[in-house]
Amino acid sequence: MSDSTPDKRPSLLVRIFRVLSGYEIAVICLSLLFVLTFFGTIEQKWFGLWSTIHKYFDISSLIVVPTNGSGKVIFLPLPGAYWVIVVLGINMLCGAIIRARKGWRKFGVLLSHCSILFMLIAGAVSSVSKEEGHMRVLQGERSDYAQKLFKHDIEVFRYDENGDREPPAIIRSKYIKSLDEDETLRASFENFDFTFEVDQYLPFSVLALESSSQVAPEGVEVVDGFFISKTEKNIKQEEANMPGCYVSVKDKNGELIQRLVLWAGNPYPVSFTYEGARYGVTYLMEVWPMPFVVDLHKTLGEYHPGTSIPSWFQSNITKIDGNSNEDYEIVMNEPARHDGYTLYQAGYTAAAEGETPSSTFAIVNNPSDKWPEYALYASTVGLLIHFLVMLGRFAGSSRPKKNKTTEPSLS
Amino acid sequence: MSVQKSSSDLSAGPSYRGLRWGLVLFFLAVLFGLVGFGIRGAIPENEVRELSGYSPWSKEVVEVASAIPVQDGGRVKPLATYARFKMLSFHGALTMKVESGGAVHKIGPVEWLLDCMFRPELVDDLPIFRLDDSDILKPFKIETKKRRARLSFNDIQAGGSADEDGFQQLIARGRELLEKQEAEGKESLSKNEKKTVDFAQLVLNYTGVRDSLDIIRAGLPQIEASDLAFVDQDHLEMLNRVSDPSRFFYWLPILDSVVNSTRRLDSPEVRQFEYELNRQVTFAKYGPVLLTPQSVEEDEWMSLGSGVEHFLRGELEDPTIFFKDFGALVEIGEAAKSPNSAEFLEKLTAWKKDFTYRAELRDEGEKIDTEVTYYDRNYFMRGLAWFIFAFLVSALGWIVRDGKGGRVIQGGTAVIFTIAVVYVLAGIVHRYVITGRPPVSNLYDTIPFITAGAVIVLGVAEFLTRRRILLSIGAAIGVIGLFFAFRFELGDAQDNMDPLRAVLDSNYWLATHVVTITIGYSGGLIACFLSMTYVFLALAGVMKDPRAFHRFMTRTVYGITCFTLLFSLVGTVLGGIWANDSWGRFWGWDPKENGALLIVLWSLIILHCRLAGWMKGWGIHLMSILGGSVVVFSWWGVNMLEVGLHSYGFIEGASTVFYFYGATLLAFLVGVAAWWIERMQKAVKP
Repeated sequence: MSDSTPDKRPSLLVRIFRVLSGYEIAVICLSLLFVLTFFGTIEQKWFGLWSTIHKYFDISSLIVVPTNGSGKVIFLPLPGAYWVIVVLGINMLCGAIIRARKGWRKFGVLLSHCSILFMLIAGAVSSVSKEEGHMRVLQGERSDYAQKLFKHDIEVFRYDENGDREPPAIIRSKYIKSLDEDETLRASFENFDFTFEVDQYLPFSVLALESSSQVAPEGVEVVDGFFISKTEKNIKQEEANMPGCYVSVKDKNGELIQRLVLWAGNPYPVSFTYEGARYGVTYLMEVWPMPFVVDLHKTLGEYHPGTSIPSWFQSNITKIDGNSNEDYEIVMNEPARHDGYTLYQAGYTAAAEGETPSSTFAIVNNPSDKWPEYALYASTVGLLIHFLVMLGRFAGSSRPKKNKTTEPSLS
Repeated sequence: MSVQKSSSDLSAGPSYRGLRWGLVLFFLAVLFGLVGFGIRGAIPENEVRELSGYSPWSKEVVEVASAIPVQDGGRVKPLATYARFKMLSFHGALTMKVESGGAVHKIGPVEWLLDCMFRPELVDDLPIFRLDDSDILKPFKIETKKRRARLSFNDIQAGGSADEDGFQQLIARGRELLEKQEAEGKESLSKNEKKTVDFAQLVLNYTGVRDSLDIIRAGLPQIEASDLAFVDQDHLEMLNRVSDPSRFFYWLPILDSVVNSTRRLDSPEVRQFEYELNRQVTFAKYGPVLLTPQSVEEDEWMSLGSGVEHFLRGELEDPTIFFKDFGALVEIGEAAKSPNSAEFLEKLTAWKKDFTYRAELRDEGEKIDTEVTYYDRNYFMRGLAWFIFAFLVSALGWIVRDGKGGRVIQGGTAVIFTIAVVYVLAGIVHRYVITGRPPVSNLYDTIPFITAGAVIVLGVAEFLTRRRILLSIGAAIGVIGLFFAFRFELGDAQDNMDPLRAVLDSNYWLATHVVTITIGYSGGLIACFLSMTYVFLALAGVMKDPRAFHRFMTRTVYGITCFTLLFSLVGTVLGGIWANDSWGRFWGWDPKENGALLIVLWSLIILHCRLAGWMKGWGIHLMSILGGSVVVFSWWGVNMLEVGLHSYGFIEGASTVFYFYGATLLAFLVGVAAWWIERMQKAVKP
């Protein structure tokens, strides 16, 4: 027999697993999430929904410092909520699913933890792969694209002999957004032999026309009488923030053809001429092509009589996908779901005199769209089983024994 | 003789009786001070005004008027409901008292509205305006006896200067501030300036209601009818035989020609005539909307003012019906000069019958009678009275516990408690019958529903455990909940049975998400109240068997926390699924969503700490007390932030929630004190 004593210390991996699966991590994560959610709620009063969500709950947010409306720090720095949830998810997997005792008596708890973990995974999938945009269609017309509210692309296109636009070349918003004010982005295009140099990018800007009453600030460039200037970020209404930039259009030899000023709030293209052809440039919300066409037959809506409170609105559409046509009635709370895409009734404009009514649809493509619903059913069943078992035990053991009184007595 | 005591027995070691009772009295004094301060601050004095010549409307007149159908807030409802919420918006209460001829008369909403419609010369002396801060009226030299006061229109008019009375100055200032707000944003106004704008708007609204029937009774300046070029003089001859040219009704059938004729004339009398004509039509749009539309496709009812406009635009299918209705109202107005005459009652009854029938033909107003009954029955106030009674009887049971007397009191408490619960449930069901939607669809609905949820859960728990204390706590929650519902309705002054906006109008989601999450709120509040009770009793040291009581209360609170978690979690996820169907996203970190999540997280922290063995009896109670604040923040607090997509739930003010936060903090301190004393007792134990 060997004299050696067995090593009772668990391995490093086991110790790490124990820490990760422990109640300590669970309670710390839940408490942090509570504090983050609380401050992430009250800060919305001062900074609005979008800014606060970005600050507290975004994947890019590693450390959060809660402040009041005037920017004064009101609590200790905290980790970003997204990463707290990631740790909580790992803890749940290790502690409540892998490490937890299994058995019929624990079935309810196990099921509810599994389903909540599934719900967190659904959230992660959604945050990574969800796409959303808005599509506005006039009654009687069709559309095959949506627009993304918070992304702005530069599109360059040539006008044909009839003045119609040819297919555009696009500079995606992600490249423009990464620019600092003093940086320049150089872009060349497959179909055109001129290049673009994008500079002086301002994420929050306003376009102005120089006049006797409005002179461009010193150092600000004026192009054809227009200039863009920096504004305060609109923290309460993210979609009201309009980026702007300047563009130098250069020929293949690097000679300047035209200087342009682009602003995302301007719906009209600015134009330049190169080698006898006319080109247009827009800086607008990113176009999101749909794999189907929406044909809006009828847009209907009503208000409660004598009020401006909408009582219902509805859009009757046909979704044309290749050769297959499907009819849908989209109403509030009842979106149309098809092939991973969901169309919601986001707005309705009644016809003013001489105008056509229109519907605005929010379109979402989210692979985990229905996962939370499935998780809900499972977690409800799990919690019900668990708590009913506990209630039975509680009721069975809480009746007072004879001659025992536990009510308060002033005597 | 030696006595063995358990380690958690509060009677072990020195009793610290003096310290305990000192702290109990101190905390109770602070608590009652807090409650008293809150109630006193919220209610201005209701003085009795002297109003010579006031004669009350008869019961029959009020009964008939109550059930007259009107359209308001997007639905057809009884005039009594319209009057109720109008009066609340001005007065903040449902009765006024006036003294006339040595007798004191109570004026309710319908009586007040009848006065506005048919005796406007009396209403300007009624103390109709509730004012919470008299400082805002100082610039207009409007006098009040106290900072919180009730004022009549004449009190306001008496202020100001010789050139411009108090009313004119107030309205001018209100308009000026409103323009500033529109130009520079809401934040540009100071707190007092915002109050000034609100009060000016209120006074202006009052004049709208008061003058809405001027069109049937006020005079018009005399003009020379022969000057009216487009008016058929023979027609005038005929009108002269049946009507009086100083009344609007005289001109109504030929109004188009009159308006066209006066445009061509240029004399001060004609301008004055035109001005008065316009004023009467404009004001006639502000009162109750009394006339059914003539077309079945049209769903918007007409006021007299909009009826005149429809007529002038040629949009009435049959103008003679409109003339007939107008004429009937003129006759009612004439008859009202003898307010309790048989003629007035007869004409009013005929109007009611006629319009009830017309509404029924349009499938409208079929719930009018039951709605009048609902408000007459006053379920929640009666429930409140029964809960007070139940609490007092149960309190008697704390002293007389044993023997036959104890059993009688226990049974009596159960019966009274059940009656109170039945009242609350009947009120909720009756509202459901009227609105046809699930019991919780707005902030007001949540209050009786949460109260009902809490008292039912505690009643069931009492039935299962037979510990008596739960019924006392249930009765206390019933009293607090229903009193809060009453106060909220007074302060909010909104008809909460009005139809919902499109996004909320889903019986499926209202019945699942909203009901579930509200039951979760109930659970959190029950746990909070149980723990509050426990810590007060523990500090006072009045339990006979503290150990058993501690164990029982801890287990109950733990069980209720599980209940809270189940409903809050399911309700929160259901809300996410609804949001996904409405707005295209499951979770958006919107304040209302976050509030629900906070309750879930708080419950999870308690349960996990207990599982890990870090939180036992005291910890669970202290956490549950603070959990009450988390629930109230989720229920009310987030609505006061006025951000997010749940805009239909926004509220301003609602300072009562701060008293609740204060009360939970106080109870938390009581708990800490009781726990500390228990530790000291253990420390000195031999």
